[in-house]
Amino acid sequence: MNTSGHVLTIVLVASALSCLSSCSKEEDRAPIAPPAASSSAATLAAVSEASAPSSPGAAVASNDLELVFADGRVTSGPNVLKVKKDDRVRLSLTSDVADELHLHGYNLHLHLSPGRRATLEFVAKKTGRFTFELHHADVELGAIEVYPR
Amino acid sequence: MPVSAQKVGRCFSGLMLALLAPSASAHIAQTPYNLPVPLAMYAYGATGALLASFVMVGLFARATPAALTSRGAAPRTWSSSSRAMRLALQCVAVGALLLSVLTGFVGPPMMDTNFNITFFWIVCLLGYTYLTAIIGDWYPLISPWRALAAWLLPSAKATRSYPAWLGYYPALLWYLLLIWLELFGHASPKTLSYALIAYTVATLVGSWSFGRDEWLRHAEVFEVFYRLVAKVAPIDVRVGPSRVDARLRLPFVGCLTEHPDHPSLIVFVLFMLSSTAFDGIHETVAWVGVFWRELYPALAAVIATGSKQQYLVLVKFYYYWQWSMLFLSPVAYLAVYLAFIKLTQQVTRTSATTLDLARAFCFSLIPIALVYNASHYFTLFVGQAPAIVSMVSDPFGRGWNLFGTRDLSLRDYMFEAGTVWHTQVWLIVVGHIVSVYLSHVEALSVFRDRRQAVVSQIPMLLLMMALTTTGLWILSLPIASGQVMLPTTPNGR
Repeated sequence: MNTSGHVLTIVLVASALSCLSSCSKEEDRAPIAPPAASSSAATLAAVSEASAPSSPGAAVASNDLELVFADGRVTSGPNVLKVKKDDRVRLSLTSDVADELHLHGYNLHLHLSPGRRATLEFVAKKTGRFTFELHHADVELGAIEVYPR
Repeated sequence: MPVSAQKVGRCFSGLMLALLAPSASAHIAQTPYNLPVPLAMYAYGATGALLASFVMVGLFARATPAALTSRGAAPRTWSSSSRAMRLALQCVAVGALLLSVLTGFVGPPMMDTNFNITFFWIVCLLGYTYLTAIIGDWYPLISPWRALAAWLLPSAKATRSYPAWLGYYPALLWYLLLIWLELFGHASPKTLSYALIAYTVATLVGSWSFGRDEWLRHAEVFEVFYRLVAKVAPIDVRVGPSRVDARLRLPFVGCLTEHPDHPSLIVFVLFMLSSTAFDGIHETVAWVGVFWRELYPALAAVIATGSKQQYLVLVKFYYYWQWSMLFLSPVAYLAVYLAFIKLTQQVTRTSATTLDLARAFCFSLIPIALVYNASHYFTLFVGQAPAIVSMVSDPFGRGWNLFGTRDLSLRDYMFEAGTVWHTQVWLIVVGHIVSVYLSHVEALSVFRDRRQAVVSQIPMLLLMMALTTTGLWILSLPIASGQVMLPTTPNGR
């Protein structure tokens, strides 16, 4: 086979692949379940849930995140929230120190006074994984994962 | 669950542990907003790679490297021996290094606003790597260290000769330290400036002791790294002492025309693969859980102090564990690579030694290493690199507007998650195809017997499938929030 033969090989392979990928694109448009959590992830989620004080009557539980920050760490609440694009997200935090919450990517800030619950509410317009942190304590608290619809 | 990482760091060993802010890599500049790739796409990517491999084997390439390179050797060569051009480039390079060091000391202290963090990690380390893959290896012309060595050390000769056994190990050591600094160093702009000064001094001392060219060629990590990356470029650039030659060639052909001239270069190439793989995996739930769920109970049983104390001690262990895994990663990849090479040797019953074969096929892994890198970092690069345009107008954060670009708000361009996923999977699959192809062509020149060449490609194909699937699998893993988790035991908190 000469060089043009090689080019042909590559073109063939590439077109076979693009066929494959376009088939699966349809699949992507359908609502995607968040990537199946590995068993360890499941354990972690379970731990987080167990330690979170359940707040009965909380609206749309899946899009609400309720966190408590004390003694330099998150003491209550899960650390990853998975939502779909265009969902309304509510992120509430009670901290024992004054600080500022920063949500990366969306660049949202929330001023925190000691012991007072503060809430950040927004519509998840951008997809991706966005971490949020406390500016002064320099601690990453968790992340919001916004998946395409 | 994250804890106050910095607090813990201070408790223990100061600077070395000061990286503890979770996702330290994210803090190099901006956080990459990548979501784990959905399982369905991981599956189609892996299937695609497998299918492509079969198609390639079916239509097995018959050209030899010589046939490929001869076409690239068309006499279209551009040469220059302009001293003025060389001097101008050297001045710009040394100026950029100086600016990076100075901005670290007197510029804004924040990572995401300081010039040197974005310039060094994003523009030079990511951007110039991708550029080199396209335009070839011009780095010796713009290396600030080569320029400084040429200016400050009048004689290229040294009293000692560079020991042959040392090979590229010094560059490998720098490479390990560089990735450590990236992932765990929590390097503030000032720390980065100190690191650059230390590297400059070490490079000059090395060049003075062992000879300028020998040291820069073997021990200057960026020179070794860009030279390897440039093997995929469609332009073959040769920078000599007084002239530069550049000629067009087929892309990727550079991976076939040469073999590593020292075993250490094989380890270097494998660290190109393993460092990115490690960066991808070290913050995932699965990986972080290995320590906190598997190792923590065992270690906790041994260290029977008060629960809080015990936890802090183990956080220290956690970082030691992460670092040792990073430093061991090239060894693990080397072991896997040599195992497959050994297998190749067995199935072909060749008289070539394992080292010969390991050298022959080593550079065909470079495309996989590059796509690993690109699929991992392209969002970070696209999101953060444009910020340099505004930073360059006000590098010291003094309110200057040198080029009138200060107020351009270019950062944080964000792709849709779907676009990111498709790009990542495509990059990896295309890199796989190229590597499989190169290794096929290489086999034809290594083995005289055609049947032997075909058989030799079965282990190589398995190896590349393993590397590709690992790359895709890592992209699909859920990411842990924060590196330091609370252990699952009740006294952990």
